[in-house]
Amino acid sequence: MKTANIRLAMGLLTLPAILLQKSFIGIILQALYVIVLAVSHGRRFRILPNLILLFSVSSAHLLQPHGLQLFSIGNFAITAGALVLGARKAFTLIALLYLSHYMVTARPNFPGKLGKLISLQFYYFERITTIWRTITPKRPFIKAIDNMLLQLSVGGKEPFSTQVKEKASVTSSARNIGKNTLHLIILWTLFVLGNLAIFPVI
Amino acid sequence: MTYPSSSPKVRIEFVALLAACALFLSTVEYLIPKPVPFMRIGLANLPLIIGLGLLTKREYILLALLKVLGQGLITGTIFSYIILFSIAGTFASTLLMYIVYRFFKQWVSLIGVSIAGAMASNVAQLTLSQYLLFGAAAKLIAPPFLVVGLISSIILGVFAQQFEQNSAWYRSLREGSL
Repeated sequence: MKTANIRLAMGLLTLPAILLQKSFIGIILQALYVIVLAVSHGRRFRILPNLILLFSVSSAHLLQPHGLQLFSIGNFAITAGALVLGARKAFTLIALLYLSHYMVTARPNFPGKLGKLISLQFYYFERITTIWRTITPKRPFIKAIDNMLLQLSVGGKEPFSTQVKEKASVTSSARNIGKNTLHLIILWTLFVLGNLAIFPVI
Repeated sequence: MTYPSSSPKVRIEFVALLAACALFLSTVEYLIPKPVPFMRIGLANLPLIIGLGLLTKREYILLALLKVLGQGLITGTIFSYIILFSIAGTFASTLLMYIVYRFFKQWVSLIGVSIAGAMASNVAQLTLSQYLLFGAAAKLIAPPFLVVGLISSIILGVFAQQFEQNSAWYRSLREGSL
């Protein structure tokens, strides 16, 4: 079994554990786990977009007061229930985002004609970036893009079948399968612990 | 008029090339500093606007699909909620731009087409954000979101129009000499 498929399967099997998590602490732990997982497999973690998401979703939920009132700004009540609800939703989205990052770290191949087309798209993408490096000057931008497309069209007359070479598939080792099974067990354990209210309730 | 080559193989490769350009332009846009955090010019939509004059309806939908999937794979968001926003925005704008271009091109420039596409995309994404992210508060972010969308779509439309008028590549394609 290919590494890409193993990660894809692990991610898909984990989805319900994240989506159905009811505990606030549980979802934070799951989010942190998948962030570490994605980052340890080469994906970048940027704090600002995540903070913006957390802040905006939590703020939006404050419009519908829910639970204990913490304080108020004029007539606007800041309630604990609404804050937690918003933050939980934001952490769910962050967890799903980084799970997705992890799932594509081994570049999964799509089957059939669509898969071939995506491979062809990436073949051209690589050629474009290669040609773009050789283009000087890069201003004006429209002229530079035009030059690049002309070069690409002139040099792009190879037959379809020779352009897209299938990538050597990376076969997953037993160790890799074991690792992904462990991630799956940990994320489901966090789900069970959260839903049995073993984590502190906020 | 569409891209003159009638060979299905060549035409499909051309769609893949335009989809690759969309990926390339989205990486270029990533490098451009943004005056407002959520403001994007939407350079990756340029191939969709240029493609209007070159592709058939089916090829145009395929281009939109490849753009969404390619961007999702490159950014790693293909299995996350972000892909839903991408699908909603891209397909809403694709549909409206195609209709505007196909039926009203005598009266509407590429700037108008770009504005129509951006508005359709923004409305689709705002509707989705109401269900997925913000609830009723989505209407609060709508005005700045739509204003930013309007400004960026005008910039993109001007850019597309300039490209169409000045590009030797585009001219050669339309004349069938490439």
